Amino acid sequence: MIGNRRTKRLKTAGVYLGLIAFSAVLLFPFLWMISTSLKPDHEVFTQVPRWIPQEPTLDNYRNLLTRTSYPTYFRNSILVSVITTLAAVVIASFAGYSLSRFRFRGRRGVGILILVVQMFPAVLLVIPLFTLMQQLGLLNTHLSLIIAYGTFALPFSTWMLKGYFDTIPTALEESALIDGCTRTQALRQIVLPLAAPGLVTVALFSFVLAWQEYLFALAFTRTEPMRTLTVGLALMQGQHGRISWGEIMAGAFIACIPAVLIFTFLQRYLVQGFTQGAVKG
Amino acid sequence: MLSQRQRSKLLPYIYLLPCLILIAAILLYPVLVGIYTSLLDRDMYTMEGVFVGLRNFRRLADEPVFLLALGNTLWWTGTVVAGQYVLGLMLALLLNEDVRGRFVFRALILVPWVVPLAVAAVAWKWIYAEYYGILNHILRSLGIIRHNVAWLANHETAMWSVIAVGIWKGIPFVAIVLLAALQSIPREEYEAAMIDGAGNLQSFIHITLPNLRGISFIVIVLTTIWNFNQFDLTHILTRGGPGNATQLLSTYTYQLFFSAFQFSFAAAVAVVMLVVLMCLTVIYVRRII
Repeated sequence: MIGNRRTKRLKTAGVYLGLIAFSAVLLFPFLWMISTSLKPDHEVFTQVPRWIPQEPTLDNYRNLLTRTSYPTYFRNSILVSVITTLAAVVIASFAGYSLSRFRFRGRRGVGILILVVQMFPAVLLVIPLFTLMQQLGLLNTHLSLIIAYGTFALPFSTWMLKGYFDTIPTALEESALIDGCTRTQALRQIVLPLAAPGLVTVALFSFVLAWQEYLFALAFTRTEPMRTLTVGLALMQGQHGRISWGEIMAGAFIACIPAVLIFTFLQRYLVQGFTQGAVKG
Repeated sequence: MLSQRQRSKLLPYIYLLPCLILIAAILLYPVLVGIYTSLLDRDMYTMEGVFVGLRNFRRLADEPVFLLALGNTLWWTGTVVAGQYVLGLMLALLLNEDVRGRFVFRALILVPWVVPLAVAAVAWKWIYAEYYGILNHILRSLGIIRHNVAWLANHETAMWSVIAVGIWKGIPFVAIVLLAALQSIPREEYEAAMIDGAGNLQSFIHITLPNLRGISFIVIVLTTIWNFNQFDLTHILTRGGPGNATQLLSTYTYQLFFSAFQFSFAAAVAVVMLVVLMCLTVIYVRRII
């Protein structure tokens, strides 16, 4: 019995050791980012770096916000992400509702199409879309990014909202329809309020998608005032002679905050969405 | 004027219309144009381009950089998927143990997944930096290396350095998906096995693994698709260098188009990617529907 308890304690210790090791490695880059961002230059560029800043300072943040284009990048990212989100939520609501409530020709085909287009290689899309945006005169505008991101967010959002609408009983809308509401009124006034959690999920998903996108932002935006955070940050390294890692890490940390907050809420639904039906059997 | 009946018949399509128009214009149309472009000889100088059939694809077969990028992509995808899966499974098993504070760990380990990849790549670039980089400092103080290594600029280390980041990024997703599946295995199965005298290892092989089979399949197909497509990390860390050592099909396509202006050739490489991805997608869609 005592031996049994000892093996159990040993096992618990092993589990903790494993969990701590994993967490340390997985968190390290993030912690190192924060640590570097709080260091004065002479602590960043030293042969014997310290884990924790000796003289913590916010200079990097101050310089970043006053002497670089970072505030512009940040504003651009917010603008693009917010409009993308609004567009995706509205369009996906109608599409998801249609797939959920109506039985019509081609319904299954649309469902499959929506799953398949998610898997297209981004580099194959970026080439013709670049040409298309050029022809439309949209190159180097935020609108080009909003159109692209809004569309990329649609498949998952539509699929997710369809699933959500499926769980809402039809009785309420039906009685509203009998009372003389139009479909669109019933959708707006009855179904959408009930689907609020689903709408929030889809909104956050679209926001993060736009917030973290890199390839299209790199291809479509060509000038400093148009750049979004990811590209701006990645290109900051080349700007002045010595790479000011302190400032870059400060920028990286700020860029992480919205994504981390949103994702923490969102991850449960994302896992469900991508693997729906898989866990059942 | 349409009758009430006709209108209600059209309604499902009207609701779908904006979604379908965007998908057609921004996803389907570019793919078709991309395939068509791959059959022309279009570049910066011949914007019209003559139809050349499959010539670009035949040229690809003799292009050393393409073959290198193809090999790198397969190597990258295989290693990263395997690494993510094995380490993700280990982490899921640890998180499934009934110890105090496991919810804190479950939240903490999500960080690599929730940090935007482009931002994480910049942070890793600083870790890998030849001078003042923390990795060199750690390895030096442990006596593993004598001199600083230029991790991302060195032929032997560049690919492994990028692969390590790729694995790091994907562990949390695999872990939490597998954890959800582990938690849905009925406890009775393990209890019955214990009564029959099965040890931990035997329970793992005969109960845990078979129960994870379905979900593992999906996870592996999905991570294969994502990693095969991966662009941001490689572009930020190495630009495919040094000397194409980390060049992937995605970065190669981008470079062919935006730096070399060989539009048709770039499209041909992307079409090769499309074919591979569509095969994987068919597997995924059939599983999930």
